Amino acid sequence: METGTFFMTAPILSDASAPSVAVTLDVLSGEIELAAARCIRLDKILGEFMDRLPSAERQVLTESLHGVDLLAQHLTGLAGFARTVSLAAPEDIAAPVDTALAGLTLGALAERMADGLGIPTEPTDDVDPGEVDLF
Amino acid sequence: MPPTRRVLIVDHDRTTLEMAEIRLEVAGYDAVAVRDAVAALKVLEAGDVDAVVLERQLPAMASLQILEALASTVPVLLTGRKLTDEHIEAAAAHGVCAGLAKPYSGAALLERVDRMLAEGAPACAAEPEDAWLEV
Repeated sequence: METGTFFMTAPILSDASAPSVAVTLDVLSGEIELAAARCIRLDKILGEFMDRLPSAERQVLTESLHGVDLLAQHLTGLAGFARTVSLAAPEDIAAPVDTALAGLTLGALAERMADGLGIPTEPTDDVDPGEVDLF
Repeated sequence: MPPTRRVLIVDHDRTTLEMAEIRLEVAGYDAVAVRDAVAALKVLEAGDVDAVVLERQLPAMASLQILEALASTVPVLLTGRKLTDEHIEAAAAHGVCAGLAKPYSGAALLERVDRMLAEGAPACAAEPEDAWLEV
């Protein structure tokens, strides 16, 4: 099975700072969920705009609205998929994320994902939130 | 028209924070999103917060600090990675009435906030509603 092969040949997590497969999928699902949320907001804005359009022009916007709605559902589905897999994914197998992260051209996205993966992007004095047990 | 309900979201993770803010705003809430305890306490001092979505793993015991400042005056939805029944039960004494394990979906967040703020919703009890816990 391909998944099994991947896990068997992937590097075992030896460096505590390297993201695991589980954390990587978790971060990925969060980003997809955010993209879905942005689509849902766009859908709402377009819907509000619809009321201001002459009826003859509403057909085009209706089609766009349908497309945005489908995209939101698509992204929500993918986020759920990645989230569910992340919950069952191994936490002791390192994910090779360096090349993938370097390939992200959207700066804010790369920075957020690096943060989530625990990879420092620049020296900072911020305290790592870590896993503080409060209760 | 009923007054807009104000929800304070406290989460160190920018992706989760923005996703939650968008989903709550689109649903008609006045969402205030902050990343740390200092900003959260400022919002709480200003008053008019109807509910709080609080990450359990903020640095330097900040989550507990925020719960103590709230003094069980508003319902709190506790979020966090590897959140367990024990965490929710322990936090119930501080006004937490529901929990949501991260990573969570926007739909799950909305469902819980809606339920916490629903007309006639019971006040947060000392015993948490385990059924609300998404693992």
